[in-house]
Amino acid sequence: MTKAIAALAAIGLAISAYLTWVHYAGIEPVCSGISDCERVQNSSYAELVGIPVAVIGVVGYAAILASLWARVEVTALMAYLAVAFSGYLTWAELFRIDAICQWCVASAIVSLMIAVLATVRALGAPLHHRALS
Amino acid sequence: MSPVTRSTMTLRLGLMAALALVVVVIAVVVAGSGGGGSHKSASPAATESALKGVPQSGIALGSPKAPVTMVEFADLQCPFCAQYHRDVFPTLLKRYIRTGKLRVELHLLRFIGSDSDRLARVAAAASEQNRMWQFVSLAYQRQGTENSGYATQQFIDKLAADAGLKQTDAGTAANQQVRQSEQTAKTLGIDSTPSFLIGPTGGPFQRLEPSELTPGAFIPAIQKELGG
Repeated sequence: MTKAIAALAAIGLAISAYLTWVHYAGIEPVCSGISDCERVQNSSYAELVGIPVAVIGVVGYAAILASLWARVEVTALMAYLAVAFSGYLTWAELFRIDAICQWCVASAIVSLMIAVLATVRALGAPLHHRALS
Repeated sequence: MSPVTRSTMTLRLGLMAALALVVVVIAVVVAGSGGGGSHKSASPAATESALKGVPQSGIALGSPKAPVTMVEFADLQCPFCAQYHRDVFPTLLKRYIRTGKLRVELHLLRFIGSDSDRLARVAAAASEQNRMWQFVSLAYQRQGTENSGYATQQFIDKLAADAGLKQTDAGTAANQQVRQSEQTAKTLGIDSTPSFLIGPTGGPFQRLEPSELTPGAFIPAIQKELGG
């Protein structure tokens, strides 16, 4: 379970790192036909108080990875924060920007999967051994 | 570690989920990005930082040495002009204008109504201070309903202050520029906004008629002018 969360967080981290790189390099992300990543990336929702959301993603997924060494609840809390934030971004894509970015959707799915696994992990962890170490 | 029962853990996780939701909602509301409708993120700081370091001269943005110039005719009240500014312009700014490949000129027209006229006059004053693009960016972000009278003196004063304008009265030259823009539009037969021309800097220009207001509809024409 922990390994699965770590793998998903690594995927999330890779997606966020890629989008961060794209953001600062000023280039277009690789985008599939139905997506309009550039529109999403250039919208006012791509930043929160001046911080690109991709950077927030990098920090968030890194925090989830790091939390695997802490109490199981910490990972769950991080994952819930990630889901709530992804939920907000997905809402913005669908109802404000009117465009979808496949990378953002992928990240939202990854964070949701991490949240489910982190919940199962927290509920199912042996009561005397709740941390990785 | 103290023993924790499953029900306690369930309760704890539930509380954390609720906490996460509250934290994100507060963060988003405080950041001012959500739920603001058309007025979202009309931040002077974000506008300033987007344009920082890009040369401005009168109605032109970008290096005077840029090989390609794109001329835009717009009305600050026109929703499609605002859409272009929101959906296309940031990409052009980042990829072509900031990199010295493209220079853009904005000719403001006033055909929609009196709000257009009031805004265009202050934009002319802004162009004299080489801050027209800051003013225009904020004006589009805060655009109201056409001819609703939203461009009140108070609205304009706030806009001008946020765009960093020292004064809002255009001099003779700037007013002349506004009339010149309208005359040019008339000569070229431009009767709708936004309308675009593109060509090597200094001309000659030809009409650019994008099929839609997305970066992808402009980039091929710019690349073609750049010779690749």
